[in-house]
Amino acid sequence: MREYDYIRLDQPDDPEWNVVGELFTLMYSRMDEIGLSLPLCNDGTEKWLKTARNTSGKYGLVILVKYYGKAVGFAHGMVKFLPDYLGGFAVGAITHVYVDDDTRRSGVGKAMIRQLEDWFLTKKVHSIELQVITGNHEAKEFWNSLGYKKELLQYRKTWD
Amino acid sequence: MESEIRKQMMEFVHDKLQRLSIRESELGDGFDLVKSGLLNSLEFVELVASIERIHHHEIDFEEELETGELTTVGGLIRAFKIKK
Repeated sequence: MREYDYIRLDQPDDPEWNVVGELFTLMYSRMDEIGLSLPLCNDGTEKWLKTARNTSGKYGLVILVKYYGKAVGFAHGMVKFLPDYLGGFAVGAITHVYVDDDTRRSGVGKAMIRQLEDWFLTKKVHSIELQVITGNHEAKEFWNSLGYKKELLQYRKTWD
Repeated sequence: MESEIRKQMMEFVHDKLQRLSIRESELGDGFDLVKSGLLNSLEFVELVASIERIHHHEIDFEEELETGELTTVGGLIRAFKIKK
């Protein structure tokens, strides 16, 4: 039976952050392929890593998954808050989830999300939200299976 | 303490201010960093986290949020001053 290691990154100085950065870059390469119209900028990974590290612990959490030492996926969640006209509640935001091709459909994604959900519960968030690229049908199935309901559609018009 | 937090805040929003042609002097105590659209709520949380780390001091985010002033320049400074 395959054994996966789930590593919680809740400290900014954890050496594993660099590995997460590599997965983050891979994730955006894939998102380009399935229709994301906003490409990752040159130093995008470093910028995101800075945010994720700085908020890790109290306001954010990354779960990194390794399989025999090789990083195969990660998930990132952060606490945010709604505007005051919507109640100003704290809500959980799942900002990124990535599992490499060889590891998909192994239960790793669900296990990461369950860990994030448990963490969000401790933060007493009103609900958990996330965005999915319209062309990512696999992801839609995934979130449905975990009890998430479709709520909004995001539209974008570009000038090219 | 107050000036340090203000300076940190300005450093955090510096690039955005430049892009939007807003002068630092326009960010008075009543300026709301989120309602103005300068920061989204994730970025604001990041700003709070970075101030907490530098000053080794955590605020009760939920409680402060309920004051309705936390996202203003003056409100954020007060949150750190009062609890210090």
